[in-house]
Amino acid sequence: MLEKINNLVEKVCLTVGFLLLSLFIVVVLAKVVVRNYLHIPMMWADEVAVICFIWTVFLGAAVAVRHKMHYTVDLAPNKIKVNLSFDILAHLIVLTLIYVMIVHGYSFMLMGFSRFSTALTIPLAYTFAAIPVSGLFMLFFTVEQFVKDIKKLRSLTKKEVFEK
Amino acid sequence: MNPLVLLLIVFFVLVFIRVPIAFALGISSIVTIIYLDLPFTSVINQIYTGIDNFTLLAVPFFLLLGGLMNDGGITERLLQFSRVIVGHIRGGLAHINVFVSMIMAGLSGSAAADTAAIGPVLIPAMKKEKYDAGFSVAITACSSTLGVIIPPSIMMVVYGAMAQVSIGKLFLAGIVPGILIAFGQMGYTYYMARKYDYPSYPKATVKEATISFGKAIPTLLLPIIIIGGISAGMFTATEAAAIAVFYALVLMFFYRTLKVKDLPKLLKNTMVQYSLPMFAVACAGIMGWLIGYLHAPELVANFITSITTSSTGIFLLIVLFLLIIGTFLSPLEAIIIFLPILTKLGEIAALDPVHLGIITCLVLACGMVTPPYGICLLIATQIGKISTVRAFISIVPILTITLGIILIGVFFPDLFLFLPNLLMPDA
Amino acid sequence: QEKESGEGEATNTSTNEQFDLRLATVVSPPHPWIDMAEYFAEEVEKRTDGNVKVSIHHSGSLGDDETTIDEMRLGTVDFVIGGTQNAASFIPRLQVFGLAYLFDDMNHFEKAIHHESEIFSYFENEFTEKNLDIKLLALSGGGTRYLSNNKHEIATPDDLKGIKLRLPGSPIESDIWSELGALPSSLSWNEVYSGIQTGVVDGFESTLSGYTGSKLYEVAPYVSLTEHLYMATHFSVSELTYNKLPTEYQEIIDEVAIEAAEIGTEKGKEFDEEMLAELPEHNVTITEIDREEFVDILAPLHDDLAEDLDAKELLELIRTLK
Ligand code: NA
Ligand code: NA
Repeated sequence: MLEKINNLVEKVCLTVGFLLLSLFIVVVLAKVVVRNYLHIPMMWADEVAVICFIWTVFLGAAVAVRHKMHYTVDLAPNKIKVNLSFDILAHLIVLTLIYVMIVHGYSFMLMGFSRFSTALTIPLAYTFAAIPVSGLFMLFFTVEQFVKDIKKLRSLTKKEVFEK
Repeated sequence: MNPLVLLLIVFFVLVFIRVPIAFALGISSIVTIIYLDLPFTSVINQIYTGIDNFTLLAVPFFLLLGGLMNDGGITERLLQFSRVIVGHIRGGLAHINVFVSMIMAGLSGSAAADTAAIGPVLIPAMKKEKYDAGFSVAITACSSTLGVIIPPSIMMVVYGAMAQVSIGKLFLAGIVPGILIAFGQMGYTYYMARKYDYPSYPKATVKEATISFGKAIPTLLLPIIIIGGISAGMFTATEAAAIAVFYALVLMFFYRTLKVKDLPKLLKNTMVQYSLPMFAVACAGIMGWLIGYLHAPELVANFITSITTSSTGIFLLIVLFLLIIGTFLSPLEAIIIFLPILTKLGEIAALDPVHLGIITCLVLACGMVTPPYGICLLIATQIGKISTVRAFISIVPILTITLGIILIGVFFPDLFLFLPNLLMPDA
Repeated sequence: QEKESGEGEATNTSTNEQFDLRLATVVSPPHPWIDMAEYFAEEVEKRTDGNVKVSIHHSGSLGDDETTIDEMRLGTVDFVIGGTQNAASFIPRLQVFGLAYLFDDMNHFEKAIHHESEIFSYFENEFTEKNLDIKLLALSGGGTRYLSNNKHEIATPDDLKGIKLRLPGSPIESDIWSELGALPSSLSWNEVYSGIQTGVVDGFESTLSGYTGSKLYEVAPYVSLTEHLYMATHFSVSELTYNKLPTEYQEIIDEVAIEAAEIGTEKGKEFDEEMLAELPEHNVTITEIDREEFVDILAPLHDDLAEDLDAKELLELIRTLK
């Protein structure tokens, strides 16, 4: 069930991210051309690029949680069972940052309704929203990983017992 | 307890129990913020501020460029070209390894991407030709760090953006040490090849050389577009990177190694790739802010000046300090967190900001091949299927050469700085 | 029980609560804002018998203007001294201070920012009404802005035709300089030097401290004495902090902030004079401008831009101050 939901969430993250990254590339390229050859100011271009950039970073970081891609220091690469137990603990610890991202990210987003971007004059809340949204997705993905790792640890332990 | 001590202890404990570095940065800051009774929303404000920076917009482009290099068969062309140039020297494959990394470094801004692109091809090939496995992994990992030393470099982009130092000047300052380090590594390779009688390739014919050179030329133009464009001031770092991506895309459609339908997958992969360092940068933003908030720069400055007040002495202590933190943090995180301390010390020692910047980047690049957290070392050992300890034993002599070159740069600033001062003669 | 002795720092600390407060600013010394901050910190500590200590975090070490203002809203940063243009992200009407030639002269500007002026109370209200949890303590000056370029002397708007001008990202400034004939371009401040060197931009507008601090005279040796803007500066306090303080300390902070703001304005003028005198050393060509011609073009634009900002009333207030 959770896995199905998460497949969908991941797909949404990647598709939206792909669109934003494409827009980002086009805007930056367009700005170079327009500034150098057409001499028209594109004051809003940087701001659009930053909004796209920040959203893609947080969406990407959420997807990376699902695939355990965030860099971890590997002190004992061969101790699979120990590492798995630590990973399960780490998932729980990670929830503190995720909690702050969701709850306080949300109140920061609300603060963002009274802070406006210079050129586009839109509230920065729309950019800030990337943080709680990403936090929410990270929550889904972390719970999924937590369940998976526990199952893995169980099957490892069973195997050991069986082998003995 | 001093909140700074609390911050660092919690961080290290979290890292050792396998909490991902980015989260450990954030969570140790959260613990300190609870201890100091500050509002949590500050955490979010500083996460946001950490990556709200126009200059960081160059990072996706430099990583995308790396991705294009891998997918587009460009690596293959560059390997051919390198073989023609250095393959005939004793220890040919290892020389190719260093040489191709040097060229790739001029195309990509990251070192991990280089290890991931070259490693799977060359490490198995070297092992097959009876090179020592430790040496194979070591030379691959070490030569990959050229990726962030020779421009363009994501690390220098971040340093320049945060320290308000010209990115163009930092890029230019990386060229001489990059080439010196590459030569140092090839010298060491030659010594090892002699000692263990490693094989070489037959010398290429003129015809072979011309063909492979012709095939490589369009790619070799890329570094010139990037570095030329930035140092001539035609574009900002971000724009140069964008143009290079555009050029590479056109090139690849032309080579027919990339189709439009491959683009979504490539962009999605790139997004997740750059979100990793950028999310870490965002989280490092909180810790960096706490360090400023708790007056750490002044404390460290007082401590250091109580040991020595000589400019060189301070500089050497900075190098030592960076060497230590570089083993636990990635270069980007180290820069974000400790930059206020570095610039404070740089002011006291009256160091040229570009000089401080380039030495900082070089020392932090060393941390990419040292345990426990050297990203290039980790990737290379996984490919070579050996333990980090074994790889590190082979890395030590190579790293020593690099450190020697860095120290020469500390004492003779002009060696690294004459290029930026010549081509971008400001300040 | 209030203490009267001036130097009795160590006495009585047990009965008086201690406050360690933080003041953030993005500029680095030497700068008029730093003088302002230092005076404030010193005097507040003295007048509260050492019970309120203010530490100065300069060079943006606690973040840029917007970030530190958000921190004030959270109460982690207590004071911010910064440009009104950057605070305009929160209080959009502060952008009126970006209207070139809105003020006739320095005198007119000083009248406007004076703590007893209607403009000040207008913005004091504006800060309160936006519910940002920050309080405006004072408005100050911080230097005059001039136009520099590497092409030729600029004395009239005609000379500006086709000049690629680096501006901060605000649409108002872009409109103003387009109207005068320049081609606005956004570029980060630390890229201006290389941008000029190779023609990404031809000129920029800045204070003289910005101009000499970044050695821009090396690439842009023509300075026009446009005096088109006076750097309006806000000195603000977090209301969370302010409300925690006893009334006597609040009063001290109010009064010292006003004194500090006056020092900031004076220092701004001194800096300008000193640096203007230094310019010939750097082989800079200084050009007097025909102010009337600039004002004639821009005066009608002021009304339109003020209307965009919904600040017509404010514009009238400023005009009647003359
Ligand atoms: Na590079
Ligand atoms: Na390599």
